[in-house]
Amino acid sequence: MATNSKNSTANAPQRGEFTATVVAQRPFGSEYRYLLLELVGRGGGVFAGAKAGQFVQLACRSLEEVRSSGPLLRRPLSIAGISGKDQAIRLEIIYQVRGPGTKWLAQRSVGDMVNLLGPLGNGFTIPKDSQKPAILIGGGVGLPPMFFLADKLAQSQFRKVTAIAGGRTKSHFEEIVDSVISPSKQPLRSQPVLEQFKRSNTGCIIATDDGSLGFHGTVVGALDNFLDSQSGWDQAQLYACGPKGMLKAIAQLAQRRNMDCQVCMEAYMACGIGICQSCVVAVRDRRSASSESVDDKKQYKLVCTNGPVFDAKTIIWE
Amino acid sequence: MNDQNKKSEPDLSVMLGTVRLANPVMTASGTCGYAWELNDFVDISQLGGFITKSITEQPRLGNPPQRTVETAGGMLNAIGLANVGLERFCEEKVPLLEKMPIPVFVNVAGKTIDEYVTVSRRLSQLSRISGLELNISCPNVEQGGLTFGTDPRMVHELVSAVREHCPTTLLIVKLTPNVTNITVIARAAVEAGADVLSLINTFLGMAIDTNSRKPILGNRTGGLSGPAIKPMAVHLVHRVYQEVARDAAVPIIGMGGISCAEDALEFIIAGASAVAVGTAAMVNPGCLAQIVQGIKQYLIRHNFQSVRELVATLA
Repeated sequence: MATNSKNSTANAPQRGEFTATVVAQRPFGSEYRYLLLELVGRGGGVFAGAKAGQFVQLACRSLEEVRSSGPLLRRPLSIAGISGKDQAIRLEIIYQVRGPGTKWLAQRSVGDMVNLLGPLGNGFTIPKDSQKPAILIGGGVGLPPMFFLADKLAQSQFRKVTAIAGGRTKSHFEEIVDSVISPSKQPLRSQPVLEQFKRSNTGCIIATDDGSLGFHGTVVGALDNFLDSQSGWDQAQLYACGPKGMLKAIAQLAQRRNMDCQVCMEAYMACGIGICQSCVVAVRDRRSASSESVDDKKQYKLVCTNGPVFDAKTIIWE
Repeated sequence: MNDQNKKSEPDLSVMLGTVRLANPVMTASGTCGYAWELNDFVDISQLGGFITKSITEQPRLGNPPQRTVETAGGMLNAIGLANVGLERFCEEKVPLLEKMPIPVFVNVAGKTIDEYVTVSRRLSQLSRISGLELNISCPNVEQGGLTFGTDPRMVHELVSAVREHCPTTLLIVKLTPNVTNITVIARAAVEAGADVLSLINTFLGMAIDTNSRKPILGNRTGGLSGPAIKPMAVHLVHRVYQEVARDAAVPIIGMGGISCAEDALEFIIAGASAVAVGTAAMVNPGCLAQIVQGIKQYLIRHNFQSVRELVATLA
């Protein structure tokens, strides 16, 4: 997939700066929050075409008040899902409160407006052959793009799809949301990750580091285990998003098992639109035609515009 | 009163040497790529001019990540002049710049005087490029950059050499604030033939991860930009105007933390003929057009016929 810098002079931009309205905001498991934004008009039209793996750059302060306090830089957040039609498009964001920016975001209520740039970056490449099995691997904050990818695969008639979701402990996946009111006297549990995958009918294997739920170990162990115990998945397309260490291990597994693997990378970003050159990832690429730096062995590509999705084989894992 | 204001629009055009800009708002080098990246977010034809990222003779990979970090009211960067190099710039980027509807200036960097001369000579032959900005102030490279910009003799030698080989090219010299007395450097640049001064580049800075006790940036140190540096930048523009630029009649491009029209107006009142926006445009590209409109509204409100009348009007 080419970067769109050369095509950006086209009449109808595939991305832009938009204002969105907060439609819902709630906790998502013990560690994350769920934010639903609505875009109308041109923004809705542009986001209707968003691809899984793409992201937005969200301003975590009021841009109208120039002197407003709050973080200077926008925050890059993966798109977790798109719904709606007729240019009233709803955009799902699942995020973790990490610092002042995401803390500001967590304080937005229904009806508030936020400013965003998007959809940004190149998404996952979905194979033409919908018979090809697909395994979606998401670790921690790498899960949200996998929800969106599961939707997209279902829309493209992929039937043999499974997800593997990893987290530190059970509370990332299962929470008692109400222990009192439930008529059955059973505590009411929410399983936000499983529910999110349910809408695309995607089965999900859970792996926890402490073994408190599902597979005891990492998503890499769970994937190895799955491939050893199930037949018919050895030619599956792997899609992975999560911390760099996890992606590296998945890439090595893919190489060992000779499987295709696309990884969605994270990097410290300033602009998100290909100008500041901050979010570099080292890749090997002898054909340097579409990249920004030249070196036979190593070159840097930008996560924001060359990625965030890369073929795992091209990454130099440092 | 409103009717009166409507009848004549203020003149926003400014002159940088022989080059006319439709308005005084430019993009700062290194913060806006090669321009078309911004076009989905702001109509670049509304800007006064565009300054590209630094170009060096050979391609540069740049510094290892992490390359930027946010700080209070600003950000540190240590990109390290990552660029495609002169050859590929001419092949791939110049055709895009040729389609730009506004004057384009190319920022030039190097490790040696010869390298500055080589790159400048080649670029000065391209008719669509309105001028060159010599980067003698990058804080994030081992050789060149800041080592030139902090020594007045080196500045004089470098600017003279480029001037000699590019006698008719508009030469902008970009100054660093990381010196004891910026006017000494400014004077050296002007005496060697600089047509325009641009100031300031970033302030050297550092951020430390207290858990690992390591610097956050891969390059250890970086350059501070953003609203945090604006008062220092305004002061330096004021000083350079008063002590060097006014008498030499050399226009200044003022920059450092501009994020709204009022910020830009401060620089103009302090002595800048034009302004450049960097970090703010990276976060919010739409602010570039808003700054142009804001300056225009100010001129109407204060009964100025032209933005040129406002330059260096500090009471």
